[in-house]
Amino acid sequence: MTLEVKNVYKSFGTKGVLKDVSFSASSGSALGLLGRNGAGKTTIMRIIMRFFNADEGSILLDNKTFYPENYSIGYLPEERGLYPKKPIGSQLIYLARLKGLSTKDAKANTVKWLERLGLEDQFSKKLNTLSKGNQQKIQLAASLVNDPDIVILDEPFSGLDPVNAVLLKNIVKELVDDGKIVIFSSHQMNYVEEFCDRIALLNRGTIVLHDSIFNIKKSYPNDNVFVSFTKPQNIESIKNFVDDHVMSFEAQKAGANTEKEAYSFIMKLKDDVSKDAMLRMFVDANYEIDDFHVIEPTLEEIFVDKAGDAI
Amino acid sequence: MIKKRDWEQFKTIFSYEYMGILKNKVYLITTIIIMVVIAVVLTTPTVIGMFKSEDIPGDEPGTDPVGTDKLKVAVINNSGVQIEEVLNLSLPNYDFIAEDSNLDELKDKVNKEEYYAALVMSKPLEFDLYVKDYVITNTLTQQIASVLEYNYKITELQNQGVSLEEIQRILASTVKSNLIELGKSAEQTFLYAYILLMFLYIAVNLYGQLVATSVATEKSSRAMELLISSAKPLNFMFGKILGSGTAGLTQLVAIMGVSFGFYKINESTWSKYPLVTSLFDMPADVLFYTILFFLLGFFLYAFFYGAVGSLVSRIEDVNTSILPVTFLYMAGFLVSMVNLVNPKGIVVRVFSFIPFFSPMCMFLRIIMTSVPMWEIALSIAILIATILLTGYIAAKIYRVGVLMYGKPPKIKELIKVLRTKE
Repeated sequence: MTLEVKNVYKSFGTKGVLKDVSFSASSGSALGLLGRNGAGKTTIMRIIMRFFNADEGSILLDNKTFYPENYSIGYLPEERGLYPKKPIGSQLIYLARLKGLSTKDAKANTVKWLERLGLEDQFSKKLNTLSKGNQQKIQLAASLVNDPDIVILDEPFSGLDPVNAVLLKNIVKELVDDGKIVIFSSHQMNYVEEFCDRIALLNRGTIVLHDSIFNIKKSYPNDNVFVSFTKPQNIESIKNFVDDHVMSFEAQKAGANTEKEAYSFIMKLKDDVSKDAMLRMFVDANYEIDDFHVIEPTLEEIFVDKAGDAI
Repeated sequence: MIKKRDWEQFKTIFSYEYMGILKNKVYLITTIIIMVVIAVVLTTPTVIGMFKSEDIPGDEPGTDPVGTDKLKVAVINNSGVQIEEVLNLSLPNYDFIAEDSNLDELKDKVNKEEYYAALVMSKPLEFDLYVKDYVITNTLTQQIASVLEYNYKITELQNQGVSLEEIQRILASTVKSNLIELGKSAEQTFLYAYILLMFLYIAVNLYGQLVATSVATEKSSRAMELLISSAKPLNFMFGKILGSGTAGLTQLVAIMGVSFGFYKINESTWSKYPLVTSLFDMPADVLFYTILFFLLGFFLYAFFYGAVGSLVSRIEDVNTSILPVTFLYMAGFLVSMVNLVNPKGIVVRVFSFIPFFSPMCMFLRIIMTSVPMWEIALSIAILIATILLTGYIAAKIYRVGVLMYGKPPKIKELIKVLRTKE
């Protein structure tokens, strides 16, 4: 299955929130929807959920108009909340029933997800007796209790401690492996980088980047190389050795015995210098090399580069 | 296929809301307390009757202080007529004692409750009665007055040479009269009209506000977004309103059931009180109209309350926001209450066709007067049409309102919402 957002426009009053937004997400891969606050991430999710309609454009599933009520969907809204004074188990069963499960399946799934999240002993407790983090997990259980085919998570990591973030990460990985469509928004670039295959970067209501992370990184100039030697090297002599070929040069002093020596260096190559030529230079000069690799830009750097202009 | 899912969702929401209210402690406790109070009130006179000795003549319930001890009444008699003996004979519950101390001393004794009352007679047909606390059911004044009157008439007539037998025959003569009402008797319907109107007013308000609060709670606890991603907003609104309405109906039926049940058990005791029997012998159609107008009134106002509830962001704002709706309903209530004594008045007639007031005004007319069937049908038809329209508008507002946070929208924005096509 492929969920496709196609040329969507939306404005509230005179304020244009989305301008020609298009992206797609397929079964068995996770799409990270990135963007700064107010970029339109929640709006596009709400349009997919049909809380309101787009002014223009369409939401398609396998090239047919997508009606959320005809599919099993798990949606984690940005606004977290349930009935604070009602028992957790009954709320989850209720939601599962609303999503079309039989009473029996609703019960079984509720127990299953509470166990998966380590909250099985909270079944009959009231929601407001739980800690904030656990309430957040209940929220996640509420979105996933119907074992949805399409999972849309709005900022799922916000409010989770590192241990629970890993738990959520594993759950998302499982969902992807099970062939679900997973779309989620996040600010936490490290998580996105870890298990997202593709990202769509929203800035001021337009998509500025939509591709696989691999391709995006490839598209950035990869002229930053990291070189690490077996023995510490004199910084000055290395600098003189490469001086004609690099734009910038930086020594990483950690582990070296003296101030003047370093094991590893980061250098930005000049345009006409290839990585191969550089490596060959070192090898020909009989330097013993432990590591030689290109430094890719992090997603965070790409994010700032693409979305940093917004105020 | 989709229709079936809608129905499933509606059923799920309906039963969740309904059971939620039924399991609510406040609801349960209130209902139980009301039922217990009704049961106790209806049973008490029977229980008292069991312990009360039956040989006190002329002891009518509710008229005189109950007890076997005679109440002492001091008498200062300046009228020149011997009256104490007659009073003692005629009013055996009281002990009339002649006193020659002055009035202030007697007042003091009445205040200290040494005497129940002090009777001061200045002329044969004039007296003052001093009591400490006057109770509305106390008829001692009238009783003394009638004894004095009767005694005076006999004495005067005897002085004219009329024989005692003749006097008694003349004085005992009464007129027999029957008022035959072809329509409805205001005397009989007044009390239950009053009680039922009161009841309708409270019930519709209570359950309507419950809907508003419940919607606003879902919004303020931010559960709404997750909820409407799981089911259609329309199903939520109708499930909630019908669930609350049914919970209200359940309470109504339970309370009515307990009242009728305990009335039946104690029927022999209550049969002496025409006001009470009129309440419980109300015709079946009154019962039918009570439930009908409760439901119609509830749905009309519940849609309003639901829409208003969806527009407020914080639970604290509910009470102020629903005020206009409450006032509208109160207007109908006040018009019908004021016109309890005049149910045929033009105001009630007009109001009984205006949908926001008709649940009360038409109801009042139906139970207190004879209303032509076509008028009832027309009024109900207008009401149902209005309910459908209100439901449609409320559903639109609800759909948009539930995701709107911050300032409540202006009327202009609301109209814009209503115009947008789905």
